[in-house]
Amino acid sequence: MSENAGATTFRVFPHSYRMLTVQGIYRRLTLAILVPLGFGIFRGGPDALVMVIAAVAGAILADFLATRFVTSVPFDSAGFRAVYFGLAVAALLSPQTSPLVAAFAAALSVIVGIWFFGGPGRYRVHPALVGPALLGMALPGMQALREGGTARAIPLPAEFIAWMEQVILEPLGVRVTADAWALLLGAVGPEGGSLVMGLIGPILLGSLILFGEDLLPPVLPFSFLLAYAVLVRLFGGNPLDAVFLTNAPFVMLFLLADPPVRPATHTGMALFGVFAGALGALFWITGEIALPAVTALFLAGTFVAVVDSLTTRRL
Amino acid sequence: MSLSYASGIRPLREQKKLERGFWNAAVPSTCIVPLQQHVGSKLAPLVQQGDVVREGMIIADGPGRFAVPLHAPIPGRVSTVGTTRLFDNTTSLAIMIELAGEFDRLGKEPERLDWSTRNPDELREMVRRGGVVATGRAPLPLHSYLRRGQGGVPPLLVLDLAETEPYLTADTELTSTYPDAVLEGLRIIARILSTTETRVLYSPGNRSALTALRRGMDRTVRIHRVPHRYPANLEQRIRRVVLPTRERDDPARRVITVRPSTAHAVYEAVVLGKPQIEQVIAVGGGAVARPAHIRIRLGTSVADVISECGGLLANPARLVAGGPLTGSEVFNVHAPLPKHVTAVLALTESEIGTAPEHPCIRCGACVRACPVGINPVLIHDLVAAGRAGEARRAGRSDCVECGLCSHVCPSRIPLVERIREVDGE
Repeated sequence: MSENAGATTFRVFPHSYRMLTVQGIYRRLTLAILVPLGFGIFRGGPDALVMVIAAVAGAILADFLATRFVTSVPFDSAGFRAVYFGLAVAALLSPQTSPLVAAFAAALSVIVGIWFFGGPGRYRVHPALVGPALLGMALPGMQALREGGTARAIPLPAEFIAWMEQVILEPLGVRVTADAWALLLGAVGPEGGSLVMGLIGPILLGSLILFGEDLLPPVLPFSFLLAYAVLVRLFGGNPLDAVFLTNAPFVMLFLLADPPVRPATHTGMALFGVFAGALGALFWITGEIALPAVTALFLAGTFVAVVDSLTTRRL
Repeated sequence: MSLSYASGIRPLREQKKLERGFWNAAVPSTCIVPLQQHVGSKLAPLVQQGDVVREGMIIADGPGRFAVPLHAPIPGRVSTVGTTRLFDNTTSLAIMIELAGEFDRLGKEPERLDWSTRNPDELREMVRRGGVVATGRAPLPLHSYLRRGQGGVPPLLVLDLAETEPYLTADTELTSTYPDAVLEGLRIIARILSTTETRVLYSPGNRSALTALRRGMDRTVRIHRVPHRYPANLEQRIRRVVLPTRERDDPARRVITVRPSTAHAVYEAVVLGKPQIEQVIAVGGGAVARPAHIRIRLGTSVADVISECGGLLANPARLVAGGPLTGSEVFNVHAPLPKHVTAVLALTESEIGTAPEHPCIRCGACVRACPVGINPVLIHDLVAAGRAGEARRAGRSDCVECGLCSHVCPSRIPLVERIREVDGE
């Protein structure tokens, strides 16, 4: 028996974890992105379906090869990470894109976008933007990735639109162009535009999964949207066109839901959202950049580390 | 330091509801009373093997000013005085009592003491003699904690009804059942501190306790509401809520915070002359047959506690003494619970949500959740790189070890454990 036998040490350790794991996050992201993508495939037809399958296959194969030969990290077959990036790449491509090109873009996204930076969590620019961007630079005439195409002339229910405009929009001083209506209602797809462009309803539907599962802090898309729309309006543009005729809704929801590509704190996210949104608005207004929202996110992503260093505690 | 209530988390969605109210658990035939129940001086046994003890009799005490006497939770005979293995696998000197004889208090109407004529020092000594240990994160001897309020400007006394860690609902049930006793205990503490400023801090999840308290509450007592986010009752946050802006950073302005169970124990010790030999605890988790609150005798084993609630439905993945975020894992179910622990959890695999550790994906969840605004993953990286000095400068000393960073980490990196490694270097 010891006189001073043991003062009790009270070990602190969490015994319960939040249910989301890394795999869980990418599984839910995949599920969420499938909603607008499903509508995009429905709109784009069999060609779109083949293109999506090719992109996903390319991403999975590239992830497998990278983990097998480039890194010591084992291939995460249940991870859904590669599936998510494949789907994200496909969503940004035109439905008319060749399946081979889509597969190549997705593979480039995974190899260069993820593993070139050191693996998951080490990248700052969304990998889904990297592959198409590299492909666009290598093959400038390909035009696989476009925003703001021309809608095909399929007649819309004119009475319904007239009613909407007279009763709801005109009193608010809002005017929606015919192209935007066509995209918004999912009746047509823009020629050369991306697979999910203009599918506002399905995009919002898919975003319910993102917000419901707490995958995306609302401050980020809202600050992006606010800066984007307000700046476009200030410069004399039509904010509705800028939103509906670009990939902005998809980008600010489904790409920014990938945790590594956004700042860590809420303040940082607000700053980043405003910065990316402002960049996108400037690109849209100038008309010099074919892909305003995508390019804005691509460039803004390189500043995430700076934003983090400003908004988190340093040494 | 970020102290706004925007950080932290809402209580877990998967928390199983416990039955309201509580009942007295069966008195165990054997009680093991470890001598080390609190932070502070070590105790020496005052009894030896074969001695007959009465209910509530002092069986151990120590010479230091931080020592708190221990009392026999049951009447009987001392069968062993020796080293025992505690629930967390550490060892402690302990006294084992086998039930025998008659209860002096159980079932009898106690005499009430008129404490209003006693001075603060007398009352504080009564609290010490009653063996009252403050419940909460740190098991401090209450009489010693109350010394912090002595001298200078009278401190502000806060009754903390804002416990938001999942399953730690015993205080809410105790307050709902005995609001008058809790309030009287609070008045006694105010008298000891010579203060007239009393506040109540509550979160919406504990509204039933507040409603019960309000009936007997003095109108001078101010009530503060805080969001139902964990952790709601960190000391610095409480200061921000209860003190005006100009006084928040003034070290001379002291705030003394007590939990309802502590106030109730003070009431029993002073008014009824009953030492702290009982505690109300929450028994929860998906593996427990009947999740509920029960009042147990000090020295009741974890196994008896779970049996009282109908036993286990399935083999639990983990037994925990305390809350799911700050509690300690139970390795020995035959060991008793210390005074300050107010929950026993038998968690299933799905409730724990374990997964293999992955590399950090820089999601920032830990940074957003941290209630004191440090960057846990930065400290983790610095520790991993062997740069302990820089890790300390990055805010190690501000960490309150609430466990949130590890809890929210999707990569399942044991950030709290790694951050604590800084101390060892």
